[in-house]
Formats: sequence, structure tokens, C-alpha cells
Amino acid sequence: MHIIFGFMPIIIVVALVIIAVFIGLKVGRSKKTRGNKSLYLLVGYGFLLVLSTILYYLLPVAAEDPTQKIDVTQIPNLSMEAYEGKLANVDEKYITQKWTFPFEGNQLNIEEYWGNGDVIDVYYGTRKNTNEIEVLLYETPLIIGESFDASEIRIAPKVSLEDDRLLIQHPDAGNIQLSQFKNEFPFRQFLKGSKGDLFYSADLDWDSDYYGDRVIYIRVPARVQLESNVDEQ
Amino acid sequence: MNIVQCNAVSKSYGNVAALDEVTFSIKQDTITGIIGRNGAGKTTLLKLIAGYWKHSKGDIHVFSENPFNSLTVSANMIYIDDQMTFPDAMPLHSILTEAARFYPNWDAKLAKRLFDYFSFHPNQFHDHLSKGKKSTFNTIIGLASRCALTIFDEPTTGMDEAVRNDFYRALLRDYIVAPRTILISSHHLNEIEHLLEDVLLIDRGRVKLHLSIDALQQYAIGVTGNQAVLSQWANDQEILFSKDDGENSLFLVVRNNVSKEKMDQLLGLGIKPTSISPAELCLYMTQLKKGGIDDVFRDA
Amino acid sequence: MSFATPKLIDIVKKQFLFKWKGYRPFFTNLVILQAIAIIFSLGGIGSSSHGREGVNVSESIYSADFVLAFTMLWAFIVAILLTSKAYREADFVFITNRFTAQLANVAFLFTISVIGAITAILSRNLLWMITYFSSDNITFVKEAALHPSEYVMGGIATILYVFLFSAVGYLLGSIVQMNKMFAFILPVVFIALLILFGMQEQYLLLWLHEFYYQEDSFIWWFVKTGFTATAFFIASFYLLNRQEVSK
Repeated sequence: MHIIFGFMPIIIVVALVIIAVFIGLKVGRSKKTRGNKSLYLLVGYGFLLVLSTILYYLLPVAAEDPTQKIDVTQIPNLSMEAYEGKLANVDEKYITQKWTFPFEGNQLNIEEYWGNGDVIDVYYGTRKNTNEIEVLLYETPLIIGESFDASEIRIAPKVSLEDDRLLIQHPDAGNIQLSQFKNEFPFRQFLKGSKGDLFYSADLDWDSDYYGDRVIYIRVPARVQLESNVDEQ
Repeated sequence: MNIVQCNAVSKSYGNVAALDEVTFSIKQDTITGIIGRNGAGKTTLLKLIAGYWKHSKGDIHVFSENPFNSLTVSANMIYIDDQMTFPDAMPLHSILTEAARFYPNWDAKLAKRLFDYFSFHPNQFHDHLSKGKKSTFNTIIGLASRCALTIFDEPTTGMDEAVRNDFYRALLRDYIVAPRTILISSHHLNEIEHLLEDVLLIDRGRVKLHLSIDALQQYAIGVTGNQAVLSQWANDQEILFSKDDGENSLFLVVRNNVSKEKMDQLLGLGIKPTSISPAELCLYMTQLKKGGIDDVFRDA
Repeated sequence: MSFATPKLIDIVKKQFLFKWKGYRPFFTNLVILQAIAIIFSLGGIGSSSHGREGVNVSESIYSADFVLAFTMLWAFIVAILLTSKAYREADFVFITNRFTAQLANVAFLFTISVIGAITAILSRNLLWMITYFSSDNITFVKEAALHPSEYVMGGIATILYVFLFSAVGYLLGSIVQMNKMFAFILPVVFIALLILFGMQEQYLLLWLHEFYYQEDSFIWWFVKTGFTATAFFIASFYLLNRQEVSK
């Protein structure tokens, strides 16, 4: 009997549709929708459909242009570079924010506070001949899927210096709501390669399709002793 | 030229025969009344002629074709009754427009005049009309379509008397302008008698009579007299109807082919024959029992 | 003396126009049904959400699949109605025979299939427009644009799927007209088949899905579907051509 239960949702939907159709028929037979009125309704509806179609193509609303794939092989892997201590070699265009603080002391306490999102990895380095602390935020573009650059959604961390405490407030996660409009199933049926199933499943499989990361790089004068509220990396 | 030709046509539902070996023909450009009591088979016959129903046995030819599924018959024939169904969404004026598109001989002027005369509103819907108004509207289509074969099945159902008379008059006048073959069924002949050229009398699925109105008028005579004497006189006559009036009195309807000699005999008996009108004749010839309804109440 | 026989095709044309004018309320039903389906679809046919790399992404997938499904059922029911007594009687008010009436029915069903399919396809854009104007922070992701040939194939396929459903409805309606008992027997048989096939692990619906939807070759699919629809209509013609118009 399991098969019947398997079809239950479809049967319920079909029953609903049939009820809806008969309500529709009742309305169709009523005096108000007779004669030319039903034609006007169809024409009005058609007009709305054409209008929405025109707008769909006119308004620049699509974030992703699937014809413009972003080549991610040219983008450095920040975590890797940082881990290998080669951050200084990374192209400066990936430094998206920079904070500098004059600092005379010998002891710097770094205090990190977590927001409601991922923690950005923090790396340390030293500088010679200076009395400034430099905090660099390295970011590579956040690519979702193959061609959607969602970098702007990310929120920057907050960095400040109070006496001998360097405060790093990790940001909340940026929110983005994506809507994708799929072709109807008869269109999907004859698509080369990427044929969808009749009943479309929700998973876009983008979990593995994120590219891009960010690190914070703190450089202090060589004499300064670092103390952190987070375990040393 | 026979427009309709039926040879031993039967139509049965299971064991019940609605029509039983009916044979007759209808000439071109005549108005024939199909007369019969309720359930006599008038509608069955007309629907067979129209090609709506399929006959069970025999041969039926309309315009020399079997009417069932014949496009020729459909194109030259229109069937009007009070059951006509039109698409719900069509107001009366578009029904007329559609009819005009279908029928090449459609007389739009006539349709418009009748439409106005009977004070219809163009935007009314057919199923909102009263029974009588529906019938009236349908007859407008029947008249204006000017089909070579026009069938009216009880066309006046629900009409009031004034409208009925108007319709009959319209039918007659239009027939004079555009002669065609018209079949009109009714159970009261006297109302349409003046229209008809021929009468086809049907009773219990069989053709009782098929005569012109003139012939019908002369067809039979009525005689009333003493039961014993009259029975004696009539035993070699064709008795169409007899009724026991009680108190030894007998009423007979006999075929009007009484010989001179027999007639003199009758007059000698002091019995004066009365004429029988076609309507009366039809009524008498389709009585279920010779004694009529009184028999039901008579003690055995 | 002979009486003119009108050309078959002329009568079919007239009958078709007669239906086209008379049965407009069907389009009211269509618009209402598609509106209901669009409301159902506003929630999307699928959604998921996950977070990584400093962003929470929630994604919804929209499509007019529902609208199309409703449209197919609409065509199915319209076809059944066309075979019903009242509609067949209306055919016979004016010039026709059973054959021309049926040809006009097929032409009418094909026309409404085209209208139904095109409105269903376009309704996706209406769905998009409603989503677009009713929320401010939605990012729309465009699907890869279809190749023109894919558009044509998809469009034809949509029309033919709707038409196929109308053919099924027409056949079922014709069978029921033969004997009203079939109105009860057919659904019972259908459910019995589902159960029977289900017990043998041969799901009827899966087989249909396999046979029609899993066909990747457009030509083959077209042959299969077109053949099915034609066969259903021919069977209906055969059944209805002997039916009396009983009033």
C-alpha cells in the first residue's frame, strides 16, 4: 500500500486542482463573466503577461550573467598564502581596508569579539622602523556559483585601538536572498546535458560553489609584545 | 419530389418500439402536421428525420440521403423545439449572428423584425428566458433560417394564445414568400388546421392516416342512434370509433364511403349523419380504448 | 432537384468559430486557475539556505510548473465537457454532423491548448514581476539563456503536453458518453492499476514518466506524444460518431 501513500501529495494536489477548476467553471457560468467579459479578462491578463515579460528583459535585475564566467584560477587563495606567510606577496588590490594606529607602547593586547557570522582568520606580522600598527583586511571576491559576485554583501570587521588594546569586532554575516526562475518542465526536458527532473528538487548545489575568502593581517612594530584573548594560531 | 421518404422505419429501445414500420413520404413545399397524442412517436419520428437519432430498421431518406450524419441533410434542415441548447455565454443577438453565418438563406430582416416585434432584448441570455419566450425565440430562428426542410416539434410550448396566433400567421405568410417543406407537430390539430395541407396522424408508433386536410374533412361521418339498430346497419361499414353513450344509444364514426343505398337506409331510420372535423377525427382515431376514459369508471 | 452539400471544411470552420464565441467562459476559468496557480507558486517550488564565507544565502527556485499543471488539467476538463450532452446538443443547433462537430472540437481544443500553453509559459514572468515588486532585497539569478532551438522545442512541447491532456479528457468523456457507468468504473480501474502495478514494483506513473518525459530526443518525443493524442482522438471519433444526440 506504500505506493498509495507515496502518491498522496499528488492526489491531494489533483483533488485541489479539480475543485479549483469546478469553482472556476461555476464562476465562468455566472452572469457577470458571460459574453465579451471573459474575452476582456483574457485580453487583460494577456496584456499583464506581455508587460511582465517586457519588464523581465528590460530591467537589469539579474545578478548572475551565466555567460560571463569568472575565472577563479587567477585569484589567490588567501588562507594558503597567509598560512605560508606569504601574505605580503599578495597583490595589493586585494587589500580592501586598512587601519593604522600610532603606537608607543611595548605591549599590545588583541581582543577579538565575535559577531553572528564566520570568524575571519587573523594573522600577525612585524614592521621595522615605525611606530604604527597596521591592520590590513585582505579579501578575494566572493563568487557564488560560477559567475555571481556577492562580495558586496559581506560586512567589514571593525577595528579600533584603545590604549594598548586592539579591538577586532568580527562582522555579522551578510544576508542575501537569491531567487532563481527556472524554465517549465517541457523546456527542461530537452536541455542538453543539464536535464532536470520532472519534479524540481531544491538543492542548487552551491555549497561547494563558494569561492573567495578573507583574512586580517596585523603588523606591529617589531618591539611590541602581543597578547591575545584567542589562542595563538 | 419527395423530401422525406420512410419505408418500414422502426425505432426501438430494447423491446419497446417507439416507431413500428412507418411508411410515408413528404412532398416538397408542403406544410404537414404531425399529429398524435403524447408518446405517440411524433418526436421520435422527427428526430429520425433530422438525423439526430438513428433508426433501428427500415429505410429513411431525407433529400435522398440517410439523415444520420448527413451534412447535406443538416445543411438544408432545421429542427426547432423548446429544448434547443445554445452555448451559455451567447446573448440572443450573437445567436442570431451565428445562425446567419450558418444558413445561406438566412433572412436577417425577418429575424430582426420578429425579434423586435416579440420585444426581445439583444443582450438577454437564452437560458434566462421564460418557457414561452424560449419557444418564441426558437421559432424566429426556424422561420428566418428558411431551410428547405423546417421541422417544428411542438413549437408553441409555453406560448400564450396571442403569441401562438402570431406565430402561425408569421409561418403562413413567410411560407407564401418562401415556400419550403415544413413539418409541424402538435397534439391539438384544431389550432394549426388552417395552416396545414397534409396531416400525418401517428398513434402508438404507427401511421394512422396520411391525408390532405381536404380529404380529412370528408374522411368520416358520425352517426348516433339506437344501439341494436345502428350496430346492425354498420356491420359492413368501416368503423373508426364507437362509443356506447348509455341508455341503448350508440355513437359511431364510420368511414365516409357509405354507399347511396346504405345512406338512404340510414336516413330511413331517422338518423342524420354529422360531419366530423379533422381534429375530432384525429382524437377519435387515437383513443386508447373504444369506450374512452369512461370505461375506466365503468363497473365490470 | 438536388440540395447543396456544403464543403466539410467550411462547416468545420463555422463550427469552430461558433465554439470560439460560445465557449469564452472557459478562458475566464483559465485566468482564474492560473491566478490560483501563481499564488501557489509564490512560495517557490524549492528553497534552501546555508551560510559560508561571511554570508547567509537563502535561495528560492521559482517556476510556472504549477501553472502549467493547472492548465493541463483545465484542458483535460474542458475536453470532457465538450463531449458532454449539453455541449454536443449545442453543436446540433446549427449545421453539422458528428464528424464536423468533432473536427471543430479538436480544432477548438488545439487552440485552447496553444492559448493555455503560451499564457502558462509567460506567467513565469508575471510570477517574477510579483516577486520583484513585492520585495526589496531579493537578488535574481538568471538561468542560462536558452538556445532559440530550445525555445522552439520547449514551446512546442508545452503546447503538445496540454493538447495531450485534452486528448485524454476527450477520450474519457467519449467513453463515459457511451455508458454513464464508466464515470465510476474508469477512476476505479485507474486506482486499481496504480495499486496492481505498484505491488509488482512497476509503477504505472513511473513508466509514463519514463516513456514521455525521459525521452531526450525531441523528434521521438514528438512522434510518441503526437501519436498518442491522434490515437485518442480517433478512438473518440469512433465512439462519438455513433452517438445519438438525445435531447
